[in-house]
Amino acid sequence: MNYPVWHVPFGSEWLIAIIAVLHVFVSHFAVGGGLFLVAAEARAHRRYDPALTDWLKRHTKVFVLLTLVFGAVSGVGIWFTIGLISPEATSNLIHIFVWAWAIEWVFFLLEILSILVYAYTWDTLPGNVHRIVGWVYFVAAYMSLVVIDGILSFQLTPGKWLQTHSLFDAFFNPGYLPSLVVRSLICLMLGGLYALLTLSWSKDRTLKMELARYAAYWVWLPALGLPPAVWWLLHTLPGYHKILLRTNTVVQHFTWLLFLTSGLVVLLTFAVVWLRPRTLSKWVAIPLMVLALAAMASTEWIREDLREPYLISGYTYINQVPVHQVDAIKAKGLLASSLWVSESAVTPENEAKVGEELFRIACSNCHLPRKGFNALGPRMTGLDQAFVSALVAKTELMRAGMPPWVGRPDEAAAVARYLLNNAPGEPVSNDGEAVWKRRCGQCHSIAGAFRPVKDAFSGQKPEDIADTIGSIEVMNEQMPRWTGNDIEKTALARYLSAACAAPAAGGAK
Amino acid sequence: MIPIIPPLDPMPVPAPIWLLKGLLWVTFAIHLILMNLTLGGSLMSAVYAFKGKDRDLDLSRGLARALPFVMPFTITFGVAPLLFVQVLYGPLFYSASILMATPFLAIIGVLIVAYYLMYLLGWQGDRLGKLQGPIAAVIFLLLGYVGFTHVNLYSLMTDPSRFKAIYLSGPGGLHMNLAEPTILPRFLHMFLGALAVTGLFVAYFGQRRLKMEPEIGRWQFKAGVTWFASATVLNLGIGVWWLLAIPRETMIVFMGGSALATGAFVGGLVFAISALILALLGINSLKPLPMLMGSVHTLIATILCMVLMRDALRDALLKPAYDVWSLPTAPQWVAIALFLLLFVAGLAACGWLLKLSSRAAREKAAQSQDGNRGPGLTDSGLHRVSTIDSQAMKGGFNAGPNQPPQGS
Repeated sequence: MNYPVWHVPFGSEWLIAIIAVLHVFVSHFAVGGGLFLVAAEARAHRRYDPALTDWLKRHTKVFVLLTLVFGAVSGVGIWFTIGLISPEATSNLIHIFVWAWAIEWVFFLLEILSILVYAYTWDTLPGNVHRIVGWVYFVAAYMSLVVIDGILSFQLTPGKWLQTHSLFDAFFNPGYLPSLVVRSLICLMLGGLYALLTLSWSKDRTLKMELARYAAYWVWLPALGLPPAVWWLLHTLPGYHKILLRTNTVVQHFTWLLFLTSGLVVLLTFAVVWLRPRTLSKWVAIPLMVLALAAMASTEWIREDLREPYLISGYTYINQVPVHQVDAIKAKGLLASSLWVSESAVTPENEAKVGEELFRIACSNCHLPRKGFNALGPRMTGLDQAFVSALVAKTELMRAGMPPWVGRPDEAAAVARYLLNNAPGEPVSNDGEAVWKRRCGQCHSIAGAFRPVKDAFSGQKPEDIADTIGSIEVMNEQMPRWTGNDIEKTALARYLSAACAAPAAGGAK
Repeated sequence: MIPIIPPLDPMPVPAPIWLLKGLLWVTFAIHLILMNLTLGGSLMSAVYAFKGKDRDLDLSRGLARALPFVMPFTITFGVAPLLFVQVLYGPLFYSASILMATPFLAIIGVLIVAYYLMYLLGWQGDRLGKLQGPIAAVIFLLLGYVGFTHVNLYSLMTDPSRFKAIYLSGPGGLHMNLAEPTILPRFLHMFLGALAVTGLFVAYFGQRRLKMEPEIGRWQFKAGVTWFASATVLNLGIGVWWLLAIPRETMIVFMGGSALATGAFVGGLVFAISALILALLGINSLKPLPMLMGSVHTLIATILCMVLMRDALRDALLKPAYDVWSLPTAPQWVAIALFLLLFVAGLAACGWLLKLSSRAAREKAAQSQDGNRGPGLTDSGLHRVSTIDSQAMKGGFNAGPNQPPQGS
């Protein structure tokens, strides 16, 4: 639309996912690990523990190498990436939050200088001054989080800002505090986990025994606070995001992965490291880190998917369409509204080419045409252009959080042509369930959470259902006209008659 | 061709333009100086490592040890102007960066590799032997890539009339701006500037060693001034090349078309020549510090003028399609005041930390039994701290004697 869309062959979603997950895994450590350093240094001072001090010096080196190099540069990487794949929303955020970012920059500058001074003055500054430097680092790092959390949580729960456009409302949005609590707890846990990792290399058994238990506290104790904090955070979500928890299968899969991995992290840390600290080894610490990384990846993916269909909830759609421009674009059409297309109108000759350009503009932020994650071509097998055009024109009615189609009908037909050209030429099954999946399952469930059809067809004979299907667009104007053949229709009707007759397997109506 | 520029953001700019411009200029000037030290420092470190005499290796090591300290601040002071550029020139910046998205995003990976190599060189340099030169050269090439890509991006962003044609020729973000006639002189101007700034840096630390190690101090001082003078003389020529490569109607702004641009141009020229003369006057002086500091100060003034010139050039190239001074604004004064307050407090905290670090360096120098452990770039103690760190690193997580906690 307003900006060119970068064509990433493997999907731009992966770019941001990989960079963001790795960055978040290190940047939260940069906060929690900073607190761990000063707290452990104070502990070493109280107990006159030279072995602990010695280990802390080495742990600081790892901390610097990881947070100052990878953490800091990958943070810039996220910024580069969002500007490249979501320039519209990035511009929005920059205009709202430029001073928040400027303030975060001040804290970041302080963070860098203080951690360098901290790392290089273990042997030269008096202990109490050295610990103050450590506290300066931690406070600066935590304040960076306090600021950036306002921007991140705003994207999902902008709250009153949508009406007031006030920076205060944007920053202190409904999700701000719970999100800050969740992130703070994760920071503490990562502070402990990274300590366990470097500690697992130590051959000092006494130090290991004692410090492993101490570091394990940092993991399982904050973990107890996570369930209520996450519940609080979810409670602040607007209804149209909450519904994705039940209807978006990707969110559901990652939620299970999150439960599994985070549960294992807590269990292993408590039952193995805390109860039997002598068992801490690389064979425990490395799997713990892998599980924690998987948990963090799941959290990030859920957060991103829950925000669908928006980049800034209620303000900018995920495909860069500003909400306030929807009507204007619909009136003009996508081609006429986009600055970055080669054609000005759809013709029979250029239909496929225009379809490709429009797909890039309107769909490629989340979808690939032929293969890979969220690819659409494979879902087009056995469908025809009229039916796919009707689906494209009603994207917002589909199961997951899809933005509305803002183009004209002929533009939807061009996208349909492009998608059908990318459908694999596989044999099509006319089995009733297969027909249901390809023609109805995009928007409906039998008795599940999203647009169940069970009540509508319960107790009906296959012939009656077939009649209904044949004139479905008359009964409900939102429905696409049936364009399949009679064999498909009959098979579908029989399947629905049987499936809707069975006792409900649960799920909301 | 008609310039294709995305519409302005629906939200107004949350500050007066002059404030954002001022912050952009200042932070970018600091970034330039730091960037010059990393780019020039890595090249000089490689050159002297390859030369191989003791004094050459000593200078190479000194520069290598400085790199990991300068790098984080280079990046941080690069982030700030990037923020202000996005507010002021967002539609142009985002569009141009998308056209060259792949090389642009690759900067992140390149920076991470270069940064880790700096730590390898800085912390483990003594162990690397003959690999020091090649590693420093690789760092230089990686940083050179970052600089060259930025020059491409910021020149492309001033030419929106080519955006659409470039995009339609391939939406994969694989473009650079090599067809732009100013690319080469623009990059060379930056590159030679980096050598000049690093030259003065080396000269400054050379003169600091004159008292304790007169021979090597004098050599280092002269070597630094020679780098500075040679690069600056060459740069005067390259500057003229760049100026002549600019479209004539734009070049006029430096010839009286705009008071600010003309002032910056004349000021930059005068300051650059003054810096050169002052440095050369001091090259054989027994007490070169006053002349050298004069040169340093005039060089900083030159860089400020260059930043203003670059900004004026961008605005002139963009007119009339994009006039940054006429963007709608709605200043967030409370947030601005909070930022300024925290900025001052942050600077005070940074000042305290720098004071501490210099106190720690003095302490280390006093503690050290081998106060004359051999020549280094500086006798500030930085190299000794690094040596201890490199010893700790050599031992991995598990090595090193247990030492009593500090202050206990």
